[in-house]
Amino acid sequence: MGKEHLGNLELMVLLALLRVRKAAYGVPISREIAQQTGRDVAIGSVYAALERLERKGFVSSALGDPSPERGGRAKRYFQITGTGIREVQVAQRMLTNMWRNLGPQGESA
Amino acid sequence: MRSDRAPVVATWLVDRFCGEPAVAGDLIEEHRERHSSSWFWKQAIIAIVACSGSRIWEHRWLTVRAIAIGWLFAAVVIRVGMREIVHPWWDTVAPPALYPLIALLPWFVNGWLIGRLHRPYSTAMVLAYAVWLVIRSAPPVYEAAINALAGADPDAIVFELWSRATSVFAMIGGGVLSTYSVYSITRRRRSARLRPA
Repeated sequence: MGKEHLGNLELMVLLALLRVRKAAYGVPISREIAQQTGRDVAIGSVYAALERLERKGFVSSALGDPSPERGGRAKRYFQITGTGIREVQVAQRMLTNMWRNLGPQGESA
Repeated sequence: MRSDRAPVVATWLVDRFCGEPAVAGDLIEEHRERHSSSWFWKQAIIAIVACSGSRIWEHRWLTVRAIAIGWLFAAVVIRVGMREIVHPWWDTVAPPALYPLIALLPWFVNGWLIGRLHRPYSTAMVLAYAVWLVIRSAPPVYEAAINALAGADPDAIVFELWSRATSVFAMIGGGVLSTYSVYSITRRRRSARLRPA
C-alpha cells in the first residue's frame, strides 16, 4: 500500500476523470460525480481535492485559454497520470477485498 | 434571486482566497447556465473554506508559525506598544473618541505581515490566524455576556463584540491587501503567457 491514501472525494474525482476519458476541468468533473452518485459536489471541494491529487502526482494540469463567458478566466484542465491510474486500481482491489463475503445489506455471509 | 451577472464581491473573494482564477471561472460558467446568486454565494463560501482548509492542513507547521507570529505581534505591538505607550499619549494630543480607529491600524499591519511572510499561502494563513482570534475571543466574550446578564456591566458585551469583530476584519483586510500586488502580477503574467502570439 502506498504512503499516500486516497480520500473518498479524491477517489470519486479520479474515477470521474477516467469516465470523462479526456482532460477535464472543474465543471464537467463535478457534473459527472453528481450524475453518477446523485449527490451535488461543490466546485470548490472538487478543486481542493484536485489540488491535493496534483501534489501527490496522481493528476497533472494545464491552463486553457481565457474566455469572456468565464469573466476572462482560463479553464484548468486536469488529466489522470499513470501513478493516478495505479492508485485507483489499488483502491478498487482494497474495496473489493473488503466487500468479499458480505451480503448485499453488508451482513456477513 | 436570479441574475445573469455573478456576484462581484463573492467572485473577488474566491479569486483572493483560492489563488486560482479557474475556480471563480467555473463558478461563473455554472452560474450563467442555471444558478442563482444565493447558489453562487454558497459555492463561494465552500470554495474559500475548502481551498484554505486544504492548505492549512497540508502546511500545518506553517500555520503554527503564522499564528505564533500573529500572537507575538499582538503581544508586543498591540498589548504593550499601543495600550501602554500610544493610548496614553494619544489621549493628551488628540480626541480620545478617535483612538478606536487608530487601534485598528496595528491589526491591519498584523494581517499584512502574516500575509507577506507566508506567500504563496498568505490568505490561508491569515484565515487560520483569524480563526485563532475568534477562538481566543470566546472566554472574554462569554465573561462579558455573563456580566451583562447579571446586570453588572450591560455595555461591556457590545464593546467586546464590536472591538473584537473589527480587529478580526482589520486583520483580514491587511492580509488580503498583502496578496493584492502578488495576485495582480501572477494574473498579468498568466494573461501574457496565454495571449496568442
